[in-house]
Amino acid sequence: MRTDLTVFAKDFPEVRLVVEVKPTIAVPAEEDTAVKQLARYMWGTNCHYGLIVTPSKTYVLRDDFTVPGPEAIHITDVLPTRILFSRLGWAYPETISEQHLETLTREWLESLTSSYDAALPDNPDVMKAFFPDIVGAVAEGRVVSEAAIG
Amino acid sequence: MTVRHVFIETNFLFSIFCMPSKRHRDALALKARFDAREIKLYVPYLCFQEARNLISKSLPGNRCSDLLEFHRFASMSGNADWNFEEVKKFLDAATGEVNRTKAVYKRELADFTNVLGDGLLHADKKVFDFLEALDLDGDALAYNDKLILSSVLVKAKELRESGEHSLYFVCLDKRHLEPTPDRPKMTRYYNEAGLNFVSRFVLPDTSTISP
Repeated sequence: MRTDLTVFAKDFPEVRLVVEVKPTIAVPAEEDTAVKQLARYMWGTNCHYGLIVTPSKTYVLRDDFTVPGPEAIHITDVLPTRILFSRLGWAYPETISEQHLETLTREWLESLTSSYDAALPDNPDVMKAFFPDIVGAVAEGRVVSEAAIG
Repeated sequence: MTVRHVFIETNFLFSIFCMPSKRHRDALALKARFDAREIKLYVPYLCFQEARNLISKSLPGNRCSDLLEFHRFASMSGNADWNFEEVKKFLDAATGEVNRTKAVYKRELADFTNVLGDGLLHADKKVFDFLEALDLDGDALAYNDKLILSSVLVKAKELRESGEHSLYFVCLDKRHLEPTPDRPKMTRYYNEAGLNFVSRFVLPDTSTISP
């Protein structure tokens, strides 16, 4: 498989954030195949943050460093995608295709790497999920589409 | 068992010789397969120079100073209810990792060139002739990337002509070196060399490859 979007460090080949865009996630989310696959990839690349973006919700994955292995990576926050992307400057559509969502996600990630102030809405749940560690990890990073992962 | 021939470049070297806590586990696993002689690795010499620069730039200069400043501030405010001696041990260990990496990374890279043997690719006349004639698809590749690509393609073609078929170019974060449908000229070079591009540090199952 391929991650839909990857944020690399500005000057180094370090994977800072991996992002998958999916139509839906199973319930419970921790049992979803895409979540498990993303956690395994994060472990293999020594990446500590991941997002799975669906039209309705965005799942934030983090490494809690408690154990060695992908078992240390958990969903820590679930945010409404509509709110997360509310600073993009245009109305979030009622229905959205996966491809369109990926385009919006890339646009939002590029904004986040340039200025978290411009990208993140003034919302306590969003701030708790992203600030300061994810924001710091992706600052000035390079957003790359479709980096292949296994 | 057929030995797989794997070309690697700067980002692989960075991923296995940067600070230990930052190393890329998939890259380390691939290196372990090389150590176990399951695969053969090839690296253009230029990549070692690039990796030295990258690792040097990546070593943090102020890894713990922010935290020490915060400790002093919290302590002066009467809010430091942690054991500073224990915290200091941890911070010293984290700083020590930077210092140890700085002390050894050049030697580790140099040692790896010796272990590679004929897998170390020097840019000889054949490579420069290839580079001179290299006709790509309008992508503005940097000179170093062109030289690395030429070194890889020349060696891969030699291997293919000698009967080898399991040839891979493992690249992380180097999408501009990937043969894609909108890069027909670059794709032709890869096909002529029988080289498979892999954009991560994990070799695919042979059943999924179509050279």
